[in-house]
Amino acid sequence: MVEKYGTAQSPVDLESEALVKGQGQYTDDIAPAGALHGVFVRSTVAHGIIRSIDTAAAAELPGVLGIYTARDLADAGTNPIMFMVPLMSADGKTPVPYVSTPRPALAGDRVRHIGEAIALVVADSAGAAQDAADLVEVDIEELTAHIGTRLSEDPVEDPIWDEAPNNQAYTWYAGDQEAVQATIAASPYKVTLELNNQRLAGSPMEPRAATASFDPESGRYTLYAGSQGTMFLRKGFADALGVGMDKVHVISKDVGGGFGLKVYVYPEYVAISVAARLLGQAVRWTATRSEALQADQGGRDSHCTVTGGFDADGQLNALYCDIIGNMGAYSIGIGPRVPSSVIAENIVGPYATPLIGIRSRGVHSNTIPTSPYRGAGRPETTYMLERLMDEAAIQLDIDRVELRRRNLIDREQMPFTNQFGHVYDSGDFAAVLDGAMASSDWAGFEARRAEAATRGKLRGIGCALFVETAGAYFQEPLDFRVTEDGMVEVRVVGVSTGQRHRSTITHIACSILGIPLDKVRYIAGDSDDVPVGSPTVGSRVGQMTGSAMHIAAHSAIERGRAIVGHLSSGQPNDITFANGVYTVAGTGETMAFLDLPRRLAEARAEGREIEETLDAVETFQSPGFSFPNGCHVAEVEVDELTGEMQILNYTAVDDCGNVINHREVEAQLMGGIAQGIGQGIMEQMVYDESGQLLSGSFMDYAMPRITEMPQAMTIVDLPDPTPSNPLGAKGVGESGTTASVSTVANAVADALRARGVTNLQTPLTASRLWEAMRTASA
Amino acid sequence: MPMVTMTVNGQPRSAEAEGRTLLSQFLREALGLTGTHVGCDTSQCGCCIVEVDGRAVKSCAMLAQEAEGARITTIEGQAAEDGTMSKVQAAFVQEQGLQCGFCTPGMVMSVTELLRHTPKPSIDEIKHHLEGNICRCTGYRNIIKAVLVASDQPLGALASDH
Repeated sequence: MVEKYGTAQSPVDLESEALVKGQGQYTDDIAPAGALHGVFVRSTVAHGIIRSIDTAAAAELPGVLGIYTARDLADAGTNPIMFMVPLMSADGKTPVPYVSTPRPALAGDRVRHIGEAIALVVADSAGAAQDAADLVEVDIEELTAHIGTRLSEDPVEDPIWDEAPNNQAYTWYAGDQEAVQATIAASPYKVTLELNNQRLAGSPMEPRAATASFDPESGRYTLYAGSQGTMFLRKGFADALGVGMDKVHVISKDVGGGFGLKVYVYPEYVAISVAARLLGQAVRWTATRSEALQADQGGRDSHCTVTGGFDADGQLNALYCDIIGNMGAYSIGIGPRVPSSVIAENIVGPYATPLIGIRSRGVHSNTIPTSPYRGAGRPETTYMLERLMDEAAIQLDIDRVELRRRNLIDREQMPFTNQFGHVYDSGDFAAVLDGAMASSDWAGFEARRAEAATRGKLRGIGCALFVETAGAYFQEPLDFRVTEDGMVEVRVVGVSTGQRHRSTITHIACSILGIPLDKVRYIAGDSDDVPVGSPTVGSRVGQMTGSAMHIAAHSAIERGRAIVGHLSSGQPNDITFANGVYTVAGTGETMAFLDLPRRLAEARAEGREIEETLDAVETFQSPGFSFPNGCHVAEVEVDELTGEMQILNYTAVDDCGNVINHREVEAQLMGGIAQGIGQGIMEQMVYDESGQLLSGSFMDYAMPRITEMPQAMTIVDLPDPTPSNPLGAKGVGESGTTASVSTVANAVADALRARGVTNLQTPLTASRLWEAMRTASA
Repeated sequence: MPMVTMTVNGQPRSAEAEGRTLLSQFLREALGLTGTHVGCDTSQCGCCIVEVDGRAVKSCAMLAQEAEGARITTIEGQAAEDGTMSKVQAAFVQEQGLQCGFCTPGMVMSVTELLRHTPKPSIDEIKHHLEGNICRCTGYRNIIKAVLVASDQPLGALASDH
């Protein structure tokens, strides 16, 4: 049976007080006094050959202690960054080849994007380092820059990688291509849409920062850097430094937002580590925001052509997705997976589509590498499905909600094995749709539209259904200990970047063990001190680490029962456990759970041989993804004259399984929805044709501010628990983003449809909407 | 380098500062007050807001030397000496007006100023006042709630549905 955890009335928050007092320990806050300052010299050219790097003038400045280039890193034994998760075929069995893109920590002979690091200047003050960096002269012979998310069939001039004459990174297929195409061709209605997922900048508010040091005695590097979990970073870091994993120690304390881009090793971390070793002193670096925009991994950036073949009664017979994913200059991490296998994992969605095919092709460009950003393929997938449903409804002249309803997978069909082999173990998609229709008063919308028209406003409503994958990696360890001073120690892998993991995990532990919240020491973020597992990605920590916590606490209670058996006159089956205390039936003798280590130590000191311990590393193994799902509705108004748009109401009805803490679920949804709204209405990384970054600061890269948020918002939990983990919880970190891009886009399209606007591409800025209305009415 | 002297959180503080040293840098590096955060270079995000002579100021947009003789209050000066959070801080915690916490010191400083001159701000006034503070995590809704709670106003339609 699944236990019930928190309630909205008793939120557990063990983390916020320190942060609200300014006592957070973000990486730059805890740089050791006296650490040297590193500043990077970056490429101002998108694509070119480095002819010379002149550091002589810079080196003469007072305070400068070292200037490092690719040659110095090579001499120090470093390797290019190669950390990649293999791209697997749709059935998960065969690795799919892609162009190998060794990424130097400092570019030596070639630069491939604006902002690529070329030299590192280290000085005794930030000012001196910056002054010296400004004096480093880099001569670059420019090559043709390749910008944009398109693929040439023919070889291009100056390809970015010799291996790829047309800059193509990979080709990946899923489904029976011929059968899908034939079915679409034979369908009475064929609906095609081109959808662009523009390049985004994840932009956590804390810019990336790192401090590196090296201990010559142990030969170990220590890196302080904000991350979503130190394990993937540690692996890539050690490989790049050319040392074993035992020679690197990575520590993340407080992290000011992650959203996917603080998972892997970055070039800067390698370069400052080598400098720290060569100089024998700690070296720190903190990105300026313009550096972050030039050098943090990018998000989204794919161009999708989606085609559906429908029956006259609205049945979707077959679906085909043709995707071009922009990898940027290098393929990093799971970059190639985002526009390919992640799409396949999510494309079935809530619909019983008999045939689905995908072709995904990666293209390299002279831009920052792309990799996951909150949702990572899920928002793109929902965008294809839900924009298609709305457009098909128009073409087939069927109500758009009714069209969706006719295609839904029924609750009765669970467990439902989808076309790509994933098993939906739960989920009532009709129920979330009904819930969203009721909560948003969808039925009463036309009256509101008519009223808005009297004010010169085009009012629109839109919905999006989604089913997404959560969990990412299906094993999660947790190190559980109880110390002789009566404290539970919990060591976990995933680092919180704002999700209040400590609160949630501690809450689960205390609910099961019947102990006060202040009796748990929660330890995360130190690679020397936590088990090997996966970072905070793919909406996984609640369900995976939470389940590991559940298992660890319950198994500790059982081990404790055996220990009490040894320490008392009772037999384990006569010993009950409640509220943190064991009671021996018959004698009435009691022992507190937290006292057992001390009592054990005393008994052992007296010569008793008791082998049992409360301590264990427990691993939760999930059978596969969980499938959070939901239906969101947005209601918008567009000003007829200016194109200015306001989101009035936003309704989210979500099944994220059993809810451990509604307020935290709500917080994740609201934040995720805001980020999806950002993609929908304003955010866009813009490169010009020569590869210059035009959105190089927060004055140009527009993120939602408080005024852009929906005026009213309703968030409803409609759980259908998953049997795939003991908590019955599904993920929730990405759901908001997965749904909100499409929800807002559908609402705006609905608002402008009366004006004849048919083709809208995000971001739906006022100028785009104005232009679309003007063009349509011309 | 010239010495700069100012009163910070009620204490006289002096340290050297180059002409180009920003107030944000001075507070963090010279005085070790790392609660003031720097989230952009263009005074867009508001993470670095402190009070200078009673006005909320983006400390990345002011030179340390310009603050010579000024009275500065930072996030570290908001809680009582025994650690009790200010009303605004407590409201942010209660309403979960933060997630990663990086923008939070600037938000708290900005809201503290708002409530001094507008003790019962409307939602529109709250939005107008906080337009220069970017939060990437919360979607702002709980921040508005925190301001309402800190100003003893009902949450009304913003109350949680569950």
